[in-house]
Amino acid sequence: MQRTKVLKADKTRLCQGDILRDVHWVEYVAEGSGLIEVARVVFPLAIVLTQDCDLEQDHRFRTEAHSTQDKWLISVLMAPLYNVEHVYQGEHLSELGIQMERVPKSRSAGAFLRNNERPRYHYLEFEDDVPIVPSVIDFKHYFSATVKYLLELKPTACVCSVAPLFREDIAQRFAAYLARVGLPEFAAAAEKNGGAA
Amino acid sequence: MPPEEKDPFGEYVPEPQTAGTPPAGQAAEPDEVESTKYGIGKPRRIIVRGTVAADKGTEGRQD
Repeated sequence: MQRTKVLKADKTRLCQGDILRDVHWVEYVAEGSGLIEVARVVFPLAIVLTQDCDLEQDHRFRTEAHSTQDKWLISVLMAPLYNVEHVYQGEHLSELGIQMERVPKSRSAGAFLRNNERPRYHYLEFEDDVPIVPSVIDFKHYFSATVKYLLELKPTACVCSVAPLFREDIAQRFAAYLARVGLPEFAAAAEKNGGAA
Repeated sequence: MPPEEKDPFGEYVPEPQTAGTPPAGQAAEPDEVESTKYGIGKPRRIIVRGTVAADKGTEGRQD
């Protein structure tokens, strides 16, 4: 497995490939009878997936004089990183009350995961000087956060930034995952229709 | 033959060594190298509840 290269993070703006610590995502806000309830999920690590050129333009339009706010982003796409040891056990979301499928580490399923042969997941293993254990990005769990929130978070929460080429690999696999075509299961449909194709 | 006596014709079988035990005279290496990586915890949920302050400055919308 090729280890993922990282860069020291650019502190001036958000970058594609930034890995941030303790990212909060608002799950829901409920209001009624004068009471309000806000539920947030805290992801221990999450990676910025939004295109870097969009983030760069957003930064320029916010920090330089422009006649419009045309390039401002309204949200940034992120995806969580899960500890691969928890993923093998299917327990990485246990504190949210969610049981996930097990991926046996020593069997084919575990090897497929580590070889990035499962479109949903992206396995990351870092050099020894990067303080992150082997992890998995789950593309199905992408979420958004505002630019303002992430900019405030980044100075104290940025662990590192995935280097170009490696981050393009992640972005390309994420795009391919989102662009997949969900075909109906014809066999199941035929059975439901009494055997008619 | 009494059980406490060794068979004088028995084959010598050395004591099995524990994996990682260094040969005599060599210093033992630490079993684990201290890792500089921290484990990633699991996502967790935080729920905050509060009261909504009355918004005195907004009038009701009239359609």
